[in-house]
This record gives sequence, C-alpha cells and structure tokens, in this order.
Amino acid sequence: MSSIPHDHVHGDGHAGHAPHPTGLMRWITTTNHKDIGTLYLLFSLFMFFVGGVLALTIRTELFHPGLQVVNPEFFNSLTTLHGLIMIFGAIMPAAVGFANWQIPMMIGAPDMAFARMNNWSFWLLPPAAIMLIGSFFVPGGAASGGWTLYPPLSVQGGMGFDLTIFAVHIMGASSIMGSINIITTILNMRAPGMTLMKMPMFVWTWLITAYLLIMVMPVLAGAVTMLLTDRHFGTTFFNAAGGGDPVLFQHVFWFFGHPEVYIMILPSFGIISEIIPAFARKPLFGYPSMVYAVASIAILSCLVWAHHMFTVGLPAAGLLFFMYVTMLIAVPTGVKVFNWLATMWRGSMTFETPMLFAVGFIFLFTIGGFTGLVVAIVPVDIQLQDTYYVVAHFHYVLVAGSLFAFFAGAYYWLPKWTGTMYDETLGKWHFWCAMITFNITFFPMHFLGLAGMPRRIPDYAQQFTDWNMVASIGAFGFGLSQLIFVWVVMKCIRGDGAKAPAKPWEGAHTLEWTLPSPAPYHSFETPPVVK
Amino acid sequence: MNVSSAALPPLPADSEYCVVARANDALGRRRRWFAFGVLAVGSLVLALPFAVAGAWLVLPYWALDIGVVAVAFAWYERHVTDWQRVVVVGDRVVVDETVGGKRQRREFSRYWLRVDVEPAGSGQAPRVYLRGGGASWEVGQALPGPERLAIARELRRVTGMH
Amino acid sequence: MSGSIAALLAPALAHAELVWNLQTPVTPIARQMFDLHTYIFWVCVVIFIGVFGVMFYSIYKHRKSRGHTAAQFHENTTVEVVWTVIPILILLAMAWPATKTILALKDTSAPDLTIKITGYQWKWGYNYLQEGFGFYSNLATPLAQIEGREAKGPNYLLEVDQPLVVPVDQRIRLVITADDVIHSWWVPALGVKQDAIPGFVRDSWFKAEKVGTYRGQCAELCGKEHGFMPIVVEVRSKDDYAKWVGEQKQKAAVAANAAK
Repeated sequence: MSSIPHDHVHGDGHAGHAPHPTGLMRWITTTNHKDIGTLYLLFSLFMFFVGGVLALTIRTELFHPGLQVVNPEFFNSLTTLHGLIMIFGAIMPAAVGFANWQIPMMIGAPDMAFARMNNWSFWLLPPAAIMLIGSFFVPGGAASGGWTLYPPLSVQGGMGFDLTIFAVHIMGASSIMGSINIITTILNMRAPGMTLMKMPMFVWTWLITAYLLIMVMPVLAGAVTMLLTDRHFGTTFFNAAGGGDPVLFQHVFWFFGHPEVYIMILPSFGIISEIIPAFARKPLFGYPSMVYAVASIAILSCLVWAHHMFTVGLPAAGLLFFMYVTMLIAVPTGVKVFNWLATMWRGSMTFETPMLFAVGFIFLFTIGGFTGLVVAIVPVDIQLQDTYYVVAHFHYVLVAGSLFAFFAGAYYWLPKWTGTMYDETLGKWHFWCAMITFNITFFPMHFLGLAGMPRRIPDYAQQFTDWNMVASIGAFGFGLSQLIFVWVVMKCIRGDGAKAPAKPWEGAHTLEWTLPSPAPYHSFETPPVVK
Repeated sequence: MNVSSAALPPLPADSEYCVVARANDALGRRRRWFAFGVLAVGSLVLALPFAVAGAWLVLPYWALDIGVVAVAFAWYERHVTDWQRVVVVGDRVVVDETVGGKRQRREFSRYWLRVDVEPAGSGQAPRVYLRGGGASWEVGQALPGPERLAIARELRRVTGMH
Repeated sequence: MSGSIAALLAPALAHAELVWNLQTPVTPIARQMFDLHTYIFWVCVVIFIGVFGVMFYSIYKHRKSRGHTAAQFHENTTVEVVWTVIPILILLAMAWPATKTILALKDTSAPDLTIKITGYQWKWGYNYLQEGFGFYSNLATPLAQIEGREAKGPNYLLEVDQPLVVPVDQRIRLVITADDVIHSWWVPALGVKQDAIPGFVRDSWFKAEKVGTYRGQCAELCGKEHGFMPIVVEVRSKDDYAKWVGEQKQKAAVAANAAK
C-alpha cells in the first residue's frame, strides 16, 4: 500500500522511529519479510550443517571397505535423513529465504501479501526439523528406507518412519503457504509499470517454482498419507497381497519428486540470471527466451517422472516416451546456459565472489546436465540406475547447482541485507576451497558408479576402495570449507567490514539496489515507478 | 496498475491536507482469477490420473490445497479495493474508507482531534488512532509502520496539536 | 604418524589398477549399452569443450581489468534459433541407437532356458523352471572379514555359497520377483538390472557369449543387509552346464526322498 502524498522524514519526536521489538519475541512474532527471510536462511544454514554431519559420517564409514564406524541399519538412516534434511531442511528453506528477502524488494512492494501467514510458514519448519532429527532417538531409530520412502521397505520401519511422514506433511504445508504468499505477492503487488515481462528473472523463476510447488504438493501429501494408512490402518494401496501395487507409490512419489528437483534448481537459475549481467555489466541476453525456457522446463518436469524408474520393468513404449521427454529438457536447459554465456560475451567482467560462484555454477551444473543426459538414455541408465554415478549426478546439480547458486546469491546480497561488505578475500578462499574439494568428493563417484558400485551400501568390494578414499578426503575438505562461509556471514552480521553503499555492484540494475544498505525494515513505502 | 480516483469521493477544493492509502493492484480481478484457474485446473489434471490409478488420497489434498489458495485469493480480492483517505478541510478532519467493500466515513472536529500513537509491539507495527468527541478511529492500518508515523506527525502538524 | 598414514593408504597401494569405466560386457545388450555410453560420453565431451572454450575465452578476454568495455546487445533471434535447433538434432542422433537397444532388451521372446529369480531379505533364490530344481544363494564372505578381524579376500562381498549357473550362448529368460520388499537383480557384465517387486513378476533376458564368472549386487535398497546380498553368475560351456544340471537333479531327488 502506498500513501500519497508521502513523507520520508523519519524520526518523529513523539513516537520515535518505529521501534522494533527485540529479543526472541521479535523473531517469533515477526511478520516482516526481511526478518522471516533471515530466519529461513539461518535455519537452512543450520540444517545444512546437520545434514553435512550425517554426510561426513557416511563418508567416514566408506573411507575403507569393511564395517568400522556404524552398523548397516544406522547407515541406512544416515543416507535417508541426509537426503531428507538437505532437500526439505536446507535447499528448500534457503530458496524461500531468498524469496522472502528479495521478492518484495525486487518488485517494489512493501512486504509479502500475507505477512501473518508468512510467519506461520516459517515457524512450522523447526518442529518438523525436531521431528526429523529426533527420530534418531526413538525406538527403532530414524527412517532407513531411503529419502524416497519406497514401500514395502518403508512399511517395515519403526516409529521413526511415522515421525518422518509427519515432518514431510508439515514441511509440505509450510511450502504451500510460502508459495501462496509468493504467488499472491508477485502477481498483485508489483510496482506501477513493472509488467510481468519486466520482472527480474529471479522473480520469474520463483513465480514458476511456486506454481509447481502448489501443483505437486498434494501428490506428495497423498502419497505419504497412503503410506501411513498402509502402515497403521490396514489399507493396501501399495501392498500386492491386498490388491495394491508397490510401484504405484514410485509413480506418485516421483511425480512429486521430479518437479521437486526443478523446484530446487529454478530459483538458482534466477539468482544466476541476476548475477551474471551485474558482473558482466551487460543486460541479460535473451530475457524472453529465458522466461520461456523456465516455463517449459517446469511443464516438462511434470512429464518425466518415470525416468527414475527405468529398471522397474516399464513397457517399451513407456521407456521410450520418458526417455524422449527427458532428453527434451536438455533443450531449454541448454538455452539457459547459452544465454548466460552470451551475456558474458563481450561484457566487461569482474570476478568478485558472487561472480566466481556463478561461473562455478554454470561450469559444474553443465557437467551435471551432461551426466543427466547420459542417465536419460534408458540402456545406459540400466547400468547406472542406483549406482554412485547417479549420486555424482544429483550432487553436481544440487550441490554445485542449487547450493553454489545460493552462495553466489548470499555474497551478492549480503551487503544489502546487513549493510556491511563481506570480506572479499575470505569469499574467494571459500569459493576456491569449495570448488576444488567439491570435485575431489564427487567426481570420483562417476567412476565408482560406472565400475558398478551400488549406492546406499555401508560396505563395498575392494576395487572401489581408492576412489572412495579420495571422495571421503574431499568430503571433509568440502565440509570444512563451509566454515569459511559461516565466518564471512558472522563478520557481516557483526558489522565487521566496510560499510556497504546502496549499490555496491556497478552493473546491478534491479530495484533492491535503489534502497539504502542495509535495506530499511519495510522495503518500499511508496512503490517506485518502473519505466 | 489501476489507480483511478473514480472510486473516491471528490476532494473538497479547500482541503489543507489529504493523504490517500491504497494498494497498487498490479494484476486486476479478471487476470487474478485466471491465474487461480490455471493453478486449480492444472493441479487437478495432474492429480486425477493418480486417483484413477488407485491413489485416490491425492484428491482430498488437492481440494485442501486449492481451497487454501482460493481463500487466500478471495481475501486478497476483497481487500485489493480497500482505500482510506484522511482529509483536513476547514474545521473538520474527515476519514473516508472502504474496507472489504464496506464504505465508512468518520468526521472529527479539527480542534478536538487527538492523534494517539500506540507504540510498536513485538513484531507489530505501531498503530495510529484519531480520537475526539468520544469517537476513536484507526488510520493507516494498511501502511508500513514508518508511514503510519509519518501520517500521525503530519496530522499533528496540520491540526496544530503538539 | 607417517606409518599410520601408510597403513590407511595401504589398500590404495595394493590396487594399482583404478576402476574408471563400465565393466567389460559379455552379452550383446551389455555391449550395446557400453558402446552407447562411450558414444554419448564423447559427444558430451566435444560439446563441453566447445561451450566452455567459448566461456573461458570470454572470461579471459572480456574482463574489465583488461579494459574491455561492455557491449550492450541483449538479443539475436538467429543465434537463439540456432542453439535451440542444433541440440535437438544432436538429441535425435542419440535417441536413435538408444531406441533400437531398448526394443532389443525388452524382447524376452524365444528363450532357451527360463529361470525364476526371487529376492529375499537378504539372499537370492533361483528356480530352474524346466529342470524342476532350485536353491538359495547367500553371501559367502565371512563376518570376520567384514568386521576387519581377517584379511579381506579377493572377491570380498562379491562371493556366494551357490552361484547361478547358466550355459554359454543361450538365450536365458529371467522372471524376477521378490518375497518381501523390492530388490534389484543386477549383473553389470550381463547388462541386466531388473527390480524384483513383491507380488509382481517382471522379466529380462541375456545371452552370455563368454564362459566365466560374473558378479553383481542388489541394486535397490532393501534393508539393513542390502549391501550384503551379491549375485554371482557362472557361465559354463554346454557340456559343463549339462553335467551340473545332472548333479543338481540328483541332489534334488535325494532331498525329496529324505523328506518322505
């Protein structure tokens, strides 16, 4: 809302500047999009480390053949919870955190459309996280059937599995509320003159992501509820003995799961599409085709789910259909990569940390894209399905993809969020350490998968030893590299660094840079007019 | 954007101070419900085949999901036309507003007007009330905190209250 | 300190040979899979070098520190059409051979021999349907090796008490199911990976062209001993296979008599 005429002289003698409540209550009751964005980002950073500890435990066990550190049952819980926590606890909340901070600032709105609901959607997450982490301590241990929760194995699990189902429900509800807020805000609250085709790419990608989320979340909720009733109320949706079909769950799950993959990567595409033009000092190449590419990726993502199921025994026609559609996704994804390159081409580039992470993203995400093409080919996938090749593939697109883009975005916007420039030297250290150790960790996994090492095994045959050792050493390096990031963020929050100007990046042109740094509590009291 | 002043009553020519708060409706009613329709039909089209294949529990969640979206859109629709205008004219302070389609007008005597600011609570923006002659009316609910304070300050200045 | 590091790296030194690629195929389908992978790999490598050659050239040349000023172009329809159409053509060139292989591997008709495979938590059951005998195949690696109390053998975790035995150069149809949860029967050299789904029967086939022992593992998470249910397939000459079948039939008859 705006007031006309408006008055920008703050600091009223009588009532004072809007005094924000402080302390814990401020964070619990806040309805401000920036506070909530901060909460989301800090929560996801915390969960990133929780999931990271699980991953490092896995890598410790796999350093050597034989069983050393954990027993096989606990190992399965580790892989399951590592997946769930990283996807639902780290990547998704981080994406929503970016949305909360940036969308109102980028479209010139004062706040999100439903401020109270925004608060709820965040505060649903900590209880869900407690359920997930706490499930390690209940009788029977945490869910151990893989993050994909395939029945009948998951029906065998103990109480930890029920907790996981509830946690997934709660996080799903949170995602839906977040998406409703984002859709309503983007559609209705844009500043005068900001037509849809003038929106920043980050806003576009989130609008499409939110649409996808709302469309596929009911499918996930239905799927896990059916698991729950199969476990406790004698239904037989997925039990062949009662006329059900275990493979139906896989169809339903991946029908949610594949769009979910794009839900995690599309906001990253948006962030990269903001950063590359800013540091190339050149407008984004092919903006309309970028929008169409994101939209077509989203639509295609709803038609490719069974490529996760090439070995369940689909008929030949099914295999062919899903292979062709999956391969087709390479076209819009290629368009995006080419557009980023064309944006860099003949620009005037500088390589501050956000740009380094953005270039690292393009480089590694493309490798993940190529391996994605390899596993899209059914005959090849039959050899690679459920091997470490797939593990390598999805870590290239999720860690070097989503996560690197979030690092890029965090370095890019930290000055705006905190009012303090981050430490460029530390940022560069973070990038190079992360880049190198990431590849040491995950590149050898391609070889392991090709040579025939299945995923989700706590112990392996001896020919896989060398690459597993390399991967484990890399993993510890990668984990430690992230402490540099925490250090950088802490320095910014404490104001230890140069004061950030309103627009620290010469080539940045979106609306948030017209606001002072740190951004005022409410973004735009009067909507800016976009020409 | 459709900031037309058609919906607002004419502004008295001799007003000394006028502040209007209204949203910028970037989409408009028709396109808003089109956007909702895409979502509702799209997700139903995706959910139905699974229901037919035996996973019918997808449908109640679809209904719940789209129901919540519908409520959110309807709530937004109801309030997108909200506006509030505070005018100081002659010896009167007139507050006109439409909230959720309900039109109201409050008049205060300029000389008896008190502008009360209730400071911000935890997570809440400060509230501004106009009081006088036994009546009390909140203004600026739809605005961010600093703007509410700005209005309070301006009104105090214009009405000579210090 | 250096001693302990050497001890840690000992397995690495013991295996001078690093594994890089798909296992050597011994069936026509596995060979097609191998060749398809090689083909797609090199296509990707060529595209990768092309695309990132351009990117790194640009990173090197078009930087501010070299005084390059930014051009301001932001669209070019011709270029955009070109880089949409060319990938489609490349994809078609990949899809064509893949399609042929898919049709071949889904064709399970005219088998010389049919074997029923059942996945259990955590072992495999094999039934020779025509010959009328069957057996279970369990992990043979001793616990002491797994727990590190004994030196690990050469086929650590990939050895079983009773392997599946099949004749060379015969079309073998596998009908695969499971008893409890989903498993997946996978032998890389044979090019077969098929999920075993409780309550449903799926089929697959292979025709091994070389006598030998081929090893694989369960490829679908099936509980705590998922990593400990290997698959060993012995491909024997026709005569050896016939001899083996005779022995098995005899054993089955003895067992049946004992049961009476």
